[in-house]
Amino acid sequence: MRGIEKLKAGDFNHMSQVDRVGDEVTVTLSKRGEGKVYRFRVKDLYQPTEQVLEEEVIEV
Amino acid sequence: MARGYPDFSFTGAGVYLMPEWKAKEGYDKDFEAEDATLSFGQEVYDTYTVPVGKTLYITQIGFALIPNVVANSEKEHWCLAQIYNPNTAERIWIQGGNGGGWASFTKPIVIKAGTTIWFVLIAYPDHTCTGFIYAGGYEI
Repeated sequence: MRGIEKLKAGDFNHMSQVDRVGDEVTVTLSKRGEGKVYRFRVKDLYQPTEQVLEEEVIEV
Repeated sequence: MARGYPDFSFTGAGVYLMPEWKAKEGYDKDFEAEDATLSFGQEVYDTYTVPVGKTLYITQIGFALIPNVVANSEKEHWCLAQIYNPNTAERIWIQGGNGGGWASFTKPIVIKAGTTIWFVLIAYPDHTCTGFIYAGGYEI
């Protein structure tokens, strides 16, 4: 599952939103016990024009 | 009729408040946002839309506003924190503070499915600051 999908499903325990510039923001999600961190930069989050600009999954 | 001694063992039993129990079950939610470029009237916020079929319960919120340079460290850092619905312009909760604040809700704030909320901090000093907003709870 991609980070943006986990966000929409509420499938996380911790979320951070930083580096908001205009209509872009970097979102970081983690779920306890999963061993992964999902980080993605998204434009127009929750808007019809929403677009994921970059994304990564970090094994922890 | 059964007879004999029951053969079971357990490490113990406990009583938990609901937020604590939801954390143990993995339903806990933490939200945070940070912005290091806040000028007067600017805001930092974390936005979330509660998924269909779920309800979000907010049990605590915290916020902080700190100066970016040491020359401003002795000044006041007034700020305003809110739980805000950007689609309806509804202020669900609001609190002010000088440098930050914290609130714990014995009766959780309930956010229903499909609702978009902002956990937002607005800065009011006359110098650039770094702002943090945090909210916690659980979602079932």
